[in-house]
Amino acid sequence: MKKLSAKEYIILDLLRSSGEMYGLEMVKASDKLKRGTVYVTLDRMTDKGLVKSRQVKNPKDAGLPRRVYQIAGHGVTLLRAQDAFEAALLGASNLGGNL
Amino acid sequence: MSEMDGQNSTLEELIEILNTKINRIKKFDRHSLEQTGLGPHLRSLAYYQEILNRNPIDVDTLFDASQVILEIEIVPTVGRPPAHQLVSLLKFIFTKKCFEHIFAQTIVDMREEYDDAIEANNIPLARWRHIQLYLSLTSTVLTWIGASSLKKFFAMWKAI
Repeated sequence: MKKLSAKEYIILDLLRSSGEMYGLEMVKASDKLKRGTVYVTLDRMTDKGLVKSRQVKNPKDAGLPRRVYQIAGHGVTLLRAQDAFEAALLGASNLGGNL
Repeated sequence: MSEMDGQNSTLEELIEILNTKINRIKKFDRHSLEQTGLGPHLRSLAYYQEILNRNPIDVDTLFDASQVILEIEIVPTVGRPPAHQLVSLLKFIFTKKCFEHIFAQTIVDMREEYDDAIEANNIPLARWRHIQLYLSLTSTVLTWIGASSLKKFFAMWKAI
């Protein structure tokens, strides 16, 4: 199973807790994500099947449409696997410390 | 103090207020006035200011200048959104999917922050957001080029 990058993990973790978010909300919620790179990361994650997005058009706003992102099935699986792996690693290091 | 002195000091105060307003308009609203077709108003104000500086008791000029300022302040100055020219260029260079998923989102986010700053009447912050929009777009373009090149390189390497 592939390991998630730090940014991918942060994004999936944010989406898991909030449901649906758009890029700027993610940038404001985390100091590790940057305005200039968040959408390239999200696009790559969409290609990998970790997140899915839908277009939201505000009828009052004539500007460009916004996309909101939510976690996809593969993203949930990888996030759980990474959490389980980290928990196991933490448990092993605690065990090592006690010995 | 005689009545004449009182009138002169009121006129001086009025001219001072007018000068402050004209200087503020010249400094901050020049761009939006030119865009909304109110450029001639700006030039009239500069002309009136010159006359008033030479002859501070020219009441007619004082009245005309006040009228122009009133028109500028009443007419809402609607300018084009930040990076409007860049949108067309990016649409032309990149694919529809790439533009909608990456660059349009960056632009929408930065415009939202720009509008928030304008709404709060925080002009320096709005200017910084405008600059930040171009910086973010540059960073996005470079990151996208880097990521796409790597993806293509790995695809080629796998194929070999």
